[in-house]
Amino acid sequence: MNPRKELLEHMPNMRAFAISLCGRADRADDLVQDTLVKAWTKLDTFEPGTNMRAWLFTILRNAYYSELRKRRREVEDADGAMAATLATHPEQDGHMDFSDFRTALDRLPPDQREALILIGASGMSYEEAAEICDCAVGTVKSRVNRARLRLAEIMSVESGAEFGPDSTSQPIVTPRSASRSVA
Amino acid sequence: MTNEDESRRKVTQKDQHYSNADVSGGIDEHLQAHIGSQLKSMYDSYLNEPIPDRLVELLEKLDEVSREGGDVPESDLESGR
Repeated sequence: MNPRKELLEHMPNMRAFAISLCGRADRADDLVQDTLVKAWTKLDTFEPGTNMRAWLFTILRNAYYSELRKRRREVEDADGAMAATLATHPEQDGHMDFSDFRTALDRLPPDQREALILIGASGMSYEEAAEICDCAVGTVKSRVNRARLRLAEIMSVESGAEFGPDSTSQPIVTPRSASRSVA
Repeated sequence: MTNEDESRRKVTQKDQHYSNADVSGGIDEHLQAHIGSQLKSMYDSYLNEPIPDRLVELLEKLDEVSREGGDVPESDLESGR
């Protein structure tokens, strides 16, 4: 096994998982950096032939949560109970194409967000996701389920049900100005 | 006949979208399909971003250090001489 080559191959996925989790490329790269160092120092605990991507995701995910806990403590220290609303800053993430979706995703509880990303985007199986998140397969399923419901709720409220007019054009389409007779 | 075919096709389409019936629940299917595709294209866009140099350089550095027998643990200590 050539660890440098292997880790390099998994790097795009590690980054994608990290950015999906935390919403910001700069923080994600710090996470990946942290993960690389940790993975390198405990390469001897990795069983060759097993799923290296899942192994790396586990390390990355744990690094993410310890960073999140640290940030929460800092925010609590700074100004009391604001930790609950501590979120990422989508306006700084530079991925404007998905800004609405990204904003909705960032509003999910972290455990639901990570389950949805693993199952719905990274292509992990429920079993792999359960191992990465250190929980039961059934728990992953219910988190994914709740994440989808919650996202649907957020997105349908914010876009006007059924992808109607978006929030900027909505005020124009008031009942009074609606010229329905034309159609 | 036609109606039957129609409904069968619908069921098949539904099954393809949601292999797990409890996942789709009673949610609007269009919205769920939209969420699914947004999630995938978001992830793919991250996946296709170039890897920052600093991460590639870090790997090279780690590799260098362990080749020189630095403080990165090596498992074959006893095979020395």
